[in-house]
Amino acid sequence: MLEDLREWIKEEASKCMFCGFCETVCPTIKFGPHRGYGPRGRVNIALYISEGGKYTEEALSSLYSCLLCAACTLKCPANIDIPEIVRASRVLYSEDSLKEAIVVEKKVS
Amino acid sequence: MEKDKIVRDISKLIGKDKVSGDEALLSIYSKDPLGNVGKALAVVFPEESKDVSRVVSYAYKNDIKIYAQGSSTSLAGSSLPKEPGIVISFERMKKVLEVSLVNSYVLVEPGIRIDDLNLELGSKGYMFPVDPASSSVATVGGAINSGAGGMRGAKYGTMRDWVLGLEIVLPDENGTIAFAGCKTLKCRQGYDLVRLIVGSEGTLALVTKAYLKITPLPETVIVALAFFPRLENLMEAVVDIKSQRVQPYILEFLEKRTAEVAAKSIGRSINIDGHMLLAGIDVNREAVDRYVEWIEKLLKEHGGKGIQTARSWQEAEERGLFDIRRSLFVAQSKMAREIYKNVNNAKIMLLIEDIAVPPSRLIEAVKGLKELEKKHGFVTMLGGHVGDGNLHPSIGFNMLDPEETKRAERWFEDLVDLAISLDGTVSSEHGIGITKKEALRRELEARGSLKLLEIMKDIKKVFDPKNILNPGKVV
Amino acid sequence: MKRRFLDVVLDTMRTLTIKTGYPVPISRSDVYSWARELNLKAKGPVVLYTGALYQIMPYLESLVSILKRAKESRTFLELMGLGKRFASSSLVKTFIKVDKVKVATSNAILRSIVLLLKEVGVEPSYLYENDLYSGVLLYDLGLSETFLLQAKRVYKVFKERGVKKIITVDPHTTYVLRNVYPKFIEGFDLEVQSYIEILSERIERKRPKETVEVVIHDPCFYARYQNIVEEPRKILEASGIKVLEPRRTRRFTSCCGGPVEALYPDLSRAVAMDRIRELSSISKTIVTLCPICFSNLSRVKPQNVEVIDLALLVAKVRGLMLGK
Repeated sequence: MLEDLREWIKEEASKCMFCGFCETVCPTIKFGPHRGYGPRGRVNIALYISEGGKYTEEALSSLYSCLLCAACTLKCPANIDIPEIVRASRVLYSEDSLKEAIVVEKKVS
Repeated sequence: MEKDKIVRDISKLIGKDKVSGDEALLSIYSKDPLGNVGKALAVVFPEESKDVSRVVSYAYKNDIKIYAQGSSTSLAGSSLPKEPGIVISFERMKKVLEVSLVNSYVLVEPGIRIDDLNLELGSKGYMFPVDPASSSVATVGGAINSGAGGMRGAKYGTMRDWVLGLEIVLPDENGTIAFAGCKTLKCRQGYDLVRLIVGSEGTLALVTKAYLKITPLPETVIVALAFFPRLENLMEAVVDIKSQRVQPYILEFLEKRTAEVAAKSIGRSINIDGHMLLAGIDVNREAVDRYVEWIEKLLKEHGGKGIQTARSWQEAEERGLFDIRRSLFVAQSKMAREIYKNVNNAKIMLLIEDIAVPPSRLIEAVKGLKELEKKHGFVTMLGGHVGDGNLHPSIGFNMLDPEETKRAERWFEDLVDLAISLDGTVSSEHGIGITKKEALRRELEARGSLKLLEIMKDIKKVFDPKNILNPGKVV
Repeated sequence: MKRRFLDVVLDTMRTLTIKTGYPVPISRSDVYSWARELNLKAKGPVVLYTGALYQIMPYLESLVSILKRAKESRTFLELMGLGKRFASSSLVKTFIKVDKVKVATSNAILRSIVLLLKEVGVEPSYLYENDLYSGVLLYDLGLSETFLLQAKRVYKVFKERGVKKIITVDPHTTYVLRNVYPKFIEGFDLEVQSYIEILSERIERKRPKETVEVVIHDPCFYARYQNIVEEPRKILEASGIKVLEPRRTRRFTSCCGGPVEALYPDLSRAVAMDRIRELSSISKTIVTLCPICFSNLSRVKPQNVEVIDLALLVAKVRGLMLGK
């Protein structure tokens, strides 16, 4: 189930052609510290995670600073479901970090 | 040098909020629209010229490569960190520092997006006229470095016609901050280094401020859209427009099938009766009726069908006259995806080319492109700026298929030959980057001018003796 | 393992929802107290479901400020330990300080919605102590298992009470019930309609005593996710209110910044201020249709600008307000 989700993210996010048109309507990139606070950044960070990349601090800021407002979907020439990629990536993080927490708890006890 | 140390060192130099070595973040500063993946070791977000200077000086002393980035939308691979190095992203330097109508200039930082600049200028009745299709995303700094053009190219030219002066940081021990060019419209400051920097793709110096020429917005622009069953007729109409002492504001062309796909991609059920011509003419308000009648009659006389006219730019916007032209990129990408929708494991790459030929040879160019389509078996989408002969043929191919990739390369080689044989050029407004280096060589060779390539390489060495600025690009 | 602020927030919401049915420390009676004097039936096939979003906003604001303070002082964070422990301790209720004015406003909005529905001849029943949270925030934050648990609870309530049709009051709850629940709950067969949709079909023209002019702020989850754009305009215009459009409007509306308030308060504030500037340049009265928009825009508005919920405004101009 989780693996299906990972695969879906990979497939959907791979459609990104990096044109950046989405950034012009994104409310957060204007006030964020870097490109990760825009849809193009989020899609590509989701791709990075789905390909086995680490949940770094900036990856998490990128994914959790998204408003899910879907303004980007009006501009994306590849019709990528950007809010759904962000949601799905958050599910992955929750599940992965939960697993990690359980492992740590076991080790401690 | 070790990545963590670079980040630590730069933190000390300019502050820890202005640099990151976060792996996930680096991954999004290591990509470009061509599907290339580079290797950024750190990404730096300067907030003023001094920050840039300090980082450049540090990189010079430690032999670290530097890649400047605006919005990373180059279609030639210009901003890709091809070898491991520091990415300097100018996204935080995006202020308009001064607008002077009396001096006809605007002073800006390089990270401002072109449309945002025009939003500000528009409130004063002025504009910066260079309008690449990506102007909503593209930054001024990126446009300067790629020598960008756009729809208004035939009337207003490209970036090289609009940059008056540049503050630059040189790749030397001190990260020297220098000012090339003038604030004045006229300027004879020895060799024209401003125009050398424009289009140099971040290989010679880093631009930290720019004085750009500005111009009043036209009083009004009338717009006409028409379809021509025969390309010859479309071209005759263009020649006729020009012969009557009219220099159109825009003059855009879309090949028939491309127009069909474009219209379909935005859900427009419009009858596409041939190749599309979209003309805009800037006029005084009093002359609107006269020009609308004139263009309508002219287009009709040359066999134009489905003619629509608008009496102002706004009316044209409201009635969607620009929609088909603007959805070219959408159409290109949709078409490519459509072709590969049943192919498993496909990574589609969209090759958007950028040749120009003298407008008198456009018909030959279009015919030549049709032949290339047959020869290599790629569905070619075609549109461009007919006023200046700049065409953007594009194909989509599967990067994961080696045979197809080879075939796409051969298509591109033939395209280069076609442009050269028609007295044209291989890159009009996208730049050379990594993808057109060989094409540039062939173009110069065909003109018996290979020596110029050597001179270019020498120029690069003079500016950047340690080859730290965007190495491996242009020359 | 390093505990991130993010993890604390996620854990807090997860644990609170599992334990109490709400993602913030709110008591059940505070969820339904607004309905006390309206005499809504407790049973019936058509039910008004608030999903508690209006009610929890003041609590969420308070919870966020506690977590923010915790983030700033590391010792507090350590003291708090896991969000789980924090959420389950009685500590949290001691710290929560809810703005009474805000609670009263939320309640007044909900009452207005009922009055408006009654005016057009719709008399829904109400769930009272079973007006549970829909789980939409959990869904958006990727807490899918907790969301599913909550969705099943909510669906069970509907089924036990023989509900056939649900009337929702905010865009997020409408979306999650209509578009998300059916994906997760097998056999989901309930009709979901927002009060905005119902009113727009049935509302009759009524001239107010004085002309009111407002600028409308479309919520993303109506305008983009559900194509509910003309409906609120129709309701406002039928009540004689002149609706002005901001630069970014309808499908092209721009977010209020609210959804990231808990995790990125500064960013949220910057987005809200940007939007307030745009809206208030058109009119000093801004109409919202969503509790999140209302809360986040209200927080940053200048003194001379008013942010008002559509239901409250329309009920007022139509002369429907109850005594208080």
